[in-house]
This record gives sequence, C-alpha cells and structure tokens, in this order.
Amino acid sequence: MANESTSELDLVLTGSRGHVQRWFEFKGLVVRGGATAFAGLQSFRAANGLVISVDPLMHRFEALANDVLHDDQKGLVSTLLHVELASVVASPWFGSSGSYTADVALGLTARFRVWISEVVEANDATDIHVAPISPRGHSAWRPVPSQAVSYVAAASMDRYSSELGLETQRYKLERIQSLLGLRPGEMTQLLDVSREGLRKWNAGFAIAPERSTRIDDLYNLAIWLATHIRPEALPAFMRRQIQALGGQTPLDWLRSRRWDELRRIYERAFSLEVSR
Amino acid sequence: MSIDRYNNTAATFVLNEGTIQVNGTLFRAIPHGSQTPLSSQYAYQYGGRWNAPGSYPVLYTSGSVAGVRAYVDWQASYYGVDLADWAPEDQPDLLVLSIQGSYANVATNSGLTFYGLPTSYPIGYLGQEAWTFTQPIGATIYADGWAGLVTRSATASSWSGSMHEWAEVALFTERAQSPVLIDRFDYRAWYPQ
Repeated sequence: MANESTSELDLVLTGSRGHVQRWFEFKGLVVRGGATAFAGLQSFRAANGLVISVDPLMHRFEALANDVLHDDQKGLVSTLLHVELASVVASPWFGSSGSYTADVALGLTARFRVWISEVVEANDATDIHVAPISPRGHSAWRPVPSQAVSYVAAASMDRYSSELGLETQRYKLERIQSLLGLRPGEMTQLLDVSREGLRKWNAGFAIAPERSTRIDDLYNLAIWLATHIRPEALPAFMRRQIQALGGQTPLDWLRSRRWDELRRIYERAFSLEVSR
Repeated sequence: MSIDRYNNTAATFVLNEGTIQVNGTLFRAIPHGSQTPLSSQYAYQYGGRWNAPGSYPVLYTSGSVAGVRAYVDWQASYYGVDLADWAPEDQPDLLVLSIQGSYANVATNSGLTFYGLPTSYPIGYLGQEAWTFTQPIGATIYADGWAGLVTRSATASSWSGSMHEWAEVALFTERAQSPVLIDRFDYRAWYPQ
C-alpha cells in the first residue's frame, strides 16, 4: 500500500500533464461539468459546483502529501489548495487545454508541486523529486473576470470552512455580515445576542449550541440568496422595500424571524412559476 | 436563429361560441438552468391562477414575446430584484412552443360572463388573493373535460385588438395535445439589454 501511495505521489509530482490527467480521471478524482458550467455562467452558484467538482482531488493530494510532510505541516495542504483554487481559475491554466475540468485539476497539481518542492527543500528531503509543469496555449489565454474569480475564492473558503469544523462559526459570522451587508447592530438583532456577546464570538469565545444553530440557519439562508442573486447586489436587496414582502425589506423579514417564509417566496419567484 | 422572427409570429385564436381554437406559436419563460422546460409539475405542486395546489398540472403560456417580457418585468419589480441581478442560472430563457387545440374561453366578455367574472377582468383580480376566485373556475373547466383555457394576461395593460397580444393559454397537460418545443433562447438573446 505504501508503495502504491509512493508511486502515486511520484506521478503527481513528476508525471507529464497527460499522465496526471489520466490518473485523476481514472481514479474519479474530478467530476466533469462543474468547471465547464462555471466557465459558461461565471456565477457564485457555478463557482460552488466548480469547487465540489475538484474537492476529491484536493483531498487526495492531502492524503498523498502526508507521507512526506512533518506532522505540523500536514494540515496545510488542504488549506493551501482551497486558497489556491481561485488563483488557478485566474491563471492561464484555465482554458488552456479544451477541458476546463482538466485545466483546474492540472493547475492545482502545479500549485501543489510548487508548494511541495519548497517544503521538501526546507525539510532537507533530498529523495523527493518535483518537476514543474505549466499550461499550454498561453497566447490564447482569456482571463476570467475578477468578479467571477472572487466567487471561486468565496465558494472555496465556504467549502473549506464547512469541512474544517474548527473556527467555522466565526467564519460564518463574517460571511453573513459581508454577504448581506449587515451592520453589527443588525447582526445582534438577528442572532439575538448583545454587542458584547457578538464581540466575544468574533474573538473566539464558545457559542452556545442553540445560538450556533441560529448562526447556521442564517448562514445557509445568506448562501442560498447569494446563489440566486448576484452577491454584489445582495446588500442593496436586503434594504429594499419589496411589494412581494408587503412593502417591507428582506431585512425586516429576517428581524421578524420569517426566514423560511422569505426563502420559500424567492424559491417560487426564481422558478418563474408564479402567475400574477 | 434570431428572436426577431418570432416577434411578429402569432398563433391564431379563432372564437367559436364558448371555445377558442388556438393554432400556432406560444411562448413561456423558464429559468436558464431548467432541464425540464415543459414540466408542469411545479404548478401542479404549488398551484397557480387556474389550479389549486395538488389538483391537476397546468402549463402556463403566453401568446406573444411581449407578453412574456411583461411577465418577467413584473416578476423583477414585484420581487424587488432587477433581472440583471438574478443569478445567470435563474435568468429567464424564452421557450417557443407550437400548439394546436380547442380551449375554454375565459378571455372575451361573453366568456368571462359565462364563468361569472366581470368583463373588466383581470382588473381587481391581480395578486394571489384573487386565486380563490379563479382556481374554482379552473377546476370547473377541468371537470368539464377541457384541455385548457384561454384567458387575459394579468400583465397586459389592455385586452383589445389581436388576441395573441394579450392572451395567455393555460394547458391542462394531462389532456392537452403536448406542445412541441421549437426553440429556446438564452436571456441575453431575447430580452432587451
């Protein structure tokens, strides 16, 4: 098993683009369609799909790297790859081969190789060999708009935080506040906590389970809204008086705990099945 | 193929006592990400103007591109989200359908009167509160064995002139001859940007 793992790591670190591509496709480490859908739509929802499509590959890299890393370095691979995913999409890798899925996977491989080469050098692990790879077709590169890249960054960190568990609630608090454009006073109202309590949560103090559930619910609603309304338009939407909400704002509805009702109304709206 | 060719393409609506014979092109908006453009399951589950939730499936269509545009504009305004701010997966694709069939007349003054609605309809009947009046009428029409009904669009501003400009056709999909999907346009291809 150790030999198989070592040969897999060797392929990942030194194999050609074609060999690596055949490996991740044969092993089922990427899901086709996610990256292609993102290339077409460049939305936050499509960015979530892209992240999910390469998540198994990132975790496989993490497992392979464990064989060559020191204990205090092992947790870094997943962090690194989730952070680097957006930079891959923003790089000439994306769109370089005719398969967006392969482009993202190979771009992550390239990032992984660079990091491993730096670490093994620092570790004096001279028996680990790493060969750099670069994308084809630089001349035809058309950059993805920065807004779309930011969607990938956010989606990747959302995914990472949900996998990580630790620190998740603090991350979710930040995401709720930034996605919905909420002021601290509005956060305390929605989460039924004092300003001092919110400050302590943000500082890393423990959050009671019932409060934690409320954070989860509000976070899930914020992410759901961001997959249906462009994230950059969400803060203004939250403060808009809306006919379908009886002339109130979405923020008013959140304050009056009509979270599920708000979501149901917009599920129907976006289905385009509401007859007037 | 450009949307322009459909802007002036109209189905014929031929009135014959309580029946309206429809033959030709109708239109419908669906989310770009929808993989089931002709599904009436959502309307079946949640109901609509002419069907109560869980009663019978209905496919709601419009007689003109302008009618669909008015509908999505109303949606955007009513729900407070500019169409350009909708996620691309939700932005409305335009379906072009071909149908042929005979449907109950809930469109002309005589048809509205027959079903107990005022000739000013849909004025005074906007919003889902009015569905308590219209859903029982739809149920009666369904129980009478019709394949659907032709009615006035609630997003039109007048209901005179060529019927295709202001009419909607609600197809009872269990009975109606299946519409043929002849075209589908991305939001950016059919909606004025």
